[in-house]
This record gives sequence, C-alpha cells and structure tokens, in this order.
Amino acid sequence: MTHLPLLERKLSDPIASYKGELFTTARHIAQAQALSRNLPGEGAVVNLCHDRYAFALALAAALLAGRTTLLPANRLPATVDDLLREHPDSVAVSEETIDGLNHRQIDVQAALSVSDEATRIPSIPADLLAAIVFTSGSTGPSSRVFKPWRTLHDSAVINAREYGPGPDLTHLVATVPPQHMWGLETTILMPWFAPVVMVSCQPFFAADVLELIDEMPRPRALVSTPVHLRNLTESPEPLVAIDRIYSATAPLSPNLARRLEADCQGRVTEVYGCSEAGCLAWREPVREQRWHLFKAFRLSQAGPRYRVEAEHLPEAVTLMDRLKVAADGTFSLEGRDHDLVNIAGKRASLASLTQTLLDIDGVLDGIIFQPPEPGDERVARLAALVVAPRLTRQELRKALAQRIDPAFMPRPLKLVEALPRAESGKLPRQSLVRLYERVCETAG
Amino acid sequence: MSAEQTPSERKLAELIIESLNLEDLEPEEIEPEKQLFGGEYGLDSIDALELALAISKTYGVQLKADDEKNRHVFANLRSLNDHIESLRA
Repeated sequence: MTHLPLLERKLSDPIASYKGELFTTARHIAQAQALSRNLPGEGAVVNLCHDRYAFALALAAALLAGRTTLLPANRLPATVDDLLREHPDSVAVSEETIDGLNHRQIDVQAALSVSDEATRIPSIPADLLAAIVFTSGSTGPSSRVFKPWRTLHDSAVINAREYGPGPDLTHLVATVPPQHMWGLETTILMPWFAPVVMVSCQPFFAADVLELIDEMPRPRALVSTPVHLRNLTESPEPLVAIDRIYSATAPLSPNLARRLEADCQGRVTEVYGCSEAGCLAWREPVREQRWHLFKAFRLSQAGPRYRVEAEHLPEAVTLMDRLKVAADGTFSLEGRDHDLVNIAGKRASLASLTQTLLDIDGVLDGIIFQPPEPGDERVARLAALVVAPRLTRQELRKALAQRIDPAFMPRPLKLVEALPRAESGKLPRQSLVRLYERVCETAG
Repeated sequence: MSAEQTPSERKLAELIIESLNLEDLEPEEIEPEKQLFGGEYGLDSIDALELALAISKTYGVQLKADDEKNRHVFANLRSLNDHIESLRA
C-alpha cells in the first residue's frame, strides 16, 4: 500500500498563526495526534470548525485515525442535521460546543493546548478516502465529491508549484471558509506543502480583514473571492500592502484586479477550478484574459463540453463551463449551461429551483432564472416571475425562503398575470427577458 | 417591545432595500425584531457584507466584529440600528 506524507514542511518551521501565537509543524502534528487519539467510535468526522487552524487540526486528526472527513455544503442547521442523520456513526468536530446538536460531538479545545512536539512526519495511506465534499447549495440531495488522500496531497503539491507564493515564508489570510474546496486547497493544504503560515481567523468585514492583514509580517497573501475583494476596495478604510492576492469562485474583472495591484503593491492571481477537479488553471487578469492549464492536467473535448483528466484524480471530470481552447493550450471561459448556476460558490440547477417554486401551494406557473448580468462585481442574483393569483408577494417569499438557500432567493420576485410561453409550452429566453425588464420598469 | 419601526429604523430599512436590490420589498415590511438574515427575507452573508459597506458609506461608521458579536448585531433590524447608533454616539 502506497503512503504519502501528511505534510512536507520542516518540523521546526512555523505553519500556523493561532490567536497571535506561532505554531511549529512539530507542534501542529503533536496536537493533531492528540485529537486523533480522542476521536470516539470509528465513523466519519464531520468537520464543522469555523476557525481555520481548528479545522486543519481536525482534518489532520481524522487522516491520522484513518477516518473520512465529511464537509457539508454550508453550516446551516438543516444541512448539518441532514448530514448527521445520514451518518449516524459519525462524530461532529468543532472548536465550540454546538447547542441543540443532537449528535456525538467533540471539541478541539483540549488538543489546542497541547504543547508537545512531534519528532517525525506521519504518513497517510494514499487510497484513504480523505474527504467527501458536498457541493449542493439548494435543499434536496447534495452531490458528493470523493477525495482520496492521493488527490488532496497531489493537488496541494501541484498548486504550490503552479501559483504558490514562492520560497519566502508567507503569511496567508483568507476570507473564505475551509470547508469549501477553494478554501481547503489554498488555506489548509497549501501551508502543509509550501512555506506558508495559515492565519487562523476568518475575518468578515472589510475593516477586520485589513486590520488582520496589517498585523502580519510581509510577505503576506490573501485568499478571497471577487465579492470580498470588491468590498475591500470600496471600503473607506485605506488598503494595505498585500504581496499576493488570490481570487476564485467567479470571474474577477481586470479593472478591479488593476486597482488591487496598484493599491496593495502586489500581484493578483486568479484561479479556476471546480469541486470535482480542484484548482486547474490560473491567469493574471491585469496582464491577460486567457487561462493557463496546470501542467498536471489534460483537456479533451467531450461533445459540446470539455473534460479534464489528471493522474491524481479518481476519474475524468466534465467541466460545467463552456471553454474555447486555443492552439497553444490556453483557454477562455465562454459561460456555462443555462440550467446550472453558481452563486457565492454554491451550485444549483435552475430547473430544480423552479420545480421547488412550482411545488408551492397556489403557484400556477413560474420560473426562476438568471436575469441579464449587472456588469459589476456584485453577486448576480436570480430573479423570478410567478403566476400565483391567490398569493401575496410576502406569502410567496416566505414560502420560498423555507425551501431554498438564501443564496438562490430570487430578487426581484415578481408576480405576473402569465408567462410568455410559446405554443409548445416553452419559454423563449428573449420573451422572458423582455417581460422581466417591463415588469421591473413599471414596478414602483 | 414594539413591532413598529422607529424613524431611524425606517431609514435603515430603506438603506437595506436599496443596497441589496430588494425592490419588491417595502421598507415597512422589515419587522424590527424579525430575523434579518437566513429567515424569510432570504438574505445571506454576502448581503451582510454589502450592507456593511452601504452602512459605512451612509453613516460613516465601520462595522467590526468577531463572529460571536457579528451574529448578534445582525440578528434583526432593531439590533443593527442600535449598534450603528452606539457607534455614532
């Protein structure tokens, strides 16, 4: 059986900054070993840690114990409850006791105070199912992505090589959660395999983010998303020096990237990927619009879409985005199939969201769709046109809010007399957009 | 405990609707003590971020919070308005 190391850092290197204290790799391993010994039962570990360092500790502990980590699509109580019900033998791990959680749970606090130092780097079976990532944002069955340790390990090594911050020890602050693949690969796995210090908090407001970055020594990096980055540049707080800025989950405009590079005196790198394949291409939007595929990946056409394959992936992955590939292997993104939407890193099918809408008592007809893009960095929300003569808008919104993730709540949500369906019953996009624009104009 | 909006709460409700593109909601529909995020208004954490930005521009105050406090401040219209007023005082 092949084994791969849990991490590849010198034991004496700092690997994490936790509440102002630097932890060495040796201490990080010792803490993970302590937590690993205390994991009850034999089932999977549901990692609910908010704190980035606590998350890393819980993931390492699960790997050391040969357990699979389950990563819920979000931390909404309903999502977590469903996940735990489906995995009755699992244990929930967090840095705080979660009230009202009727499930076996363990707190990482005790492990955090362990000050022993490990003397060797442990190995993990390459075939161990290290994580199952749940990707659905809407209610209903989530889709699962299986990540053997080999996949996570190799992804981390590839990422460090392709877009890592380089040989100088870099402090890395992030605004994204570690449960999501973008956050997991960059903020947890990158520090395990590159000279990077993970900074434990997850700052939220612009002022908090800038203050935390400013406390860190240079070089320092920020892992974020276009929404958070736009929020930073629009905040009245002055920006601070950031040597490397990484963005993913949605396209970053060249304008915003230019502004960040000028005001932060750093380099902006955009990364493209998906939960199934992980990070797979990069570009620097200030200098070019085309994407560079990582060397470990191969692209092949599969009907109208593209597939990526790589040695370390369990299977080929069909990409949801439409690609236009040039002779030199670089590519551009040309949108995605209209049914699939990705909002704030959460995915859903418009058809299934519309089905949820139609299932509401009193709704005669309706559609949830993507309106024409606003064209700035704001999150493009969905819109809905609904025929429901017996319902008020408030009743409708309330009914819908109970059934779908807030990320996909249509806004605006408009009541109309009828949808412009063609004779076939189909709803041509053009007619839909025309009605939508008319309704938005006339509404007060 | 009143379900009526105070004048300053009304102003904040208008800012919420304007900054979050909630045109199909009327300001008075945002009840002062009803859960603002994750409830029936369908608002999420990205809205919280947008709203914080709009608040800093309109009121000249910076929202700063650790996770714990953040959850409490954003609980409803009233708690958010009280927090802004305490920052401005």
